[in-house]
Amino acid sequence: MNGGQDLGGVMGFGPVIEEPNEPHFHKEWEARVLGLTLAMGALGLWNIDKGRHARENRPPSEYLSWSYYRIWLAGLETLVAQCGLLDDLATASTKNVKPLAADMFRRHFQKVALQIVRPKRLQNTKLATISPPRISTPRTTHVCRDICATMLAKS
Amino acid sequence: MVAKAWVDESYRDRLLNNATDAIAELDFIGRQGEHMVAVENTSQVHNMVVCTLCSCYPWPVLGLPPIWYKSPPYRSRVVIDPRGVLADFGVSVPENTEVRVWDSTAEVRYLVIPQRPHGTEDLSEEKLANLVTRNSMIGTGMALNSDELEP
Repeated sequence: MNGGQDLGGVMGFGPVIEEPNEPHFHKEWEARVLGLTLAMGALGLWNIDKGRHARENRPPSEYLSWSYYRIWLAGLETLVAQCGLLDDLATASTKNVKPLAADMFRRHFQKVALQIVRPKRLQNTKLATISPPRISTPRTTHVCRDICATMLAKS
Repeated sequence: MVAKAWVDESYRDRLLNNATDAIAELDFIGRQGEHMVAVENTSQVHNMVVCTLCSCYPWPVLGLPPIWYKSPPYRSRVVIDPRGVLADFGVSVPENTEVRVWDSTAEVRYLVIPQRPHGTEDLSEEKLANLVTRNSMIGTGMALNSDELEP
């Protein structure tokens, strides 16, 4: 699929500008979008190629003018809709899904996001000997699946 | 990892032959780092890494990528005007040094081993590690000289 993302060799974008001491996220919602996307990805409902397609399959004018995480949010919305997850949630909410599960879900998202962004060692010019984040993917998938199954369970 | 490659020639060889395993030796493993290839800068070749189609980046080794790496100016121009992009970063590479640009994919992530700065023969691996910058491992910067380090 060609589109706005096929950028190699395209002219006219101007100089590369580096932001000094750039933070990982400029707004809090960006961190949430990252965490949400990764945690939802752990469900195994889509792979990286489908994830990228969901982000890239849009008008070039959107892809080229939106910020990075705005594009990710749009991609996640597309994937959630395509998988029919929202339909199930709407049904589940009428069937007494425990509110506790939603809270665990939210906290798990934050935890996953923190694990990804913890390598602050590279924010400065030094590469310190801080150990890298350990993301136990099988365990994450297992927990995510359990939580989502609880949320989506019909009584 | 870079400092280790500078001081330990057998590690450097392992890194160049099978970066995934060599990096795993140091425990930098995880998602987005499943298949890694290390490319070495020399006086003949300067390497740069990009993902023109999206933002593929070796998360377990370098963390999250900076905005400039993910944005159209870098992604579009480094493959047609790498020296111009280096100039944007205040970096110049000699005329007779070849500049090679590697386009990462969802499957393969590249990592640059920057050149060891001059006059660092006496430094320990730990001190050498302080000279390695994130940008030098993407190819938009060089490792620091000892006198450029903040105290």
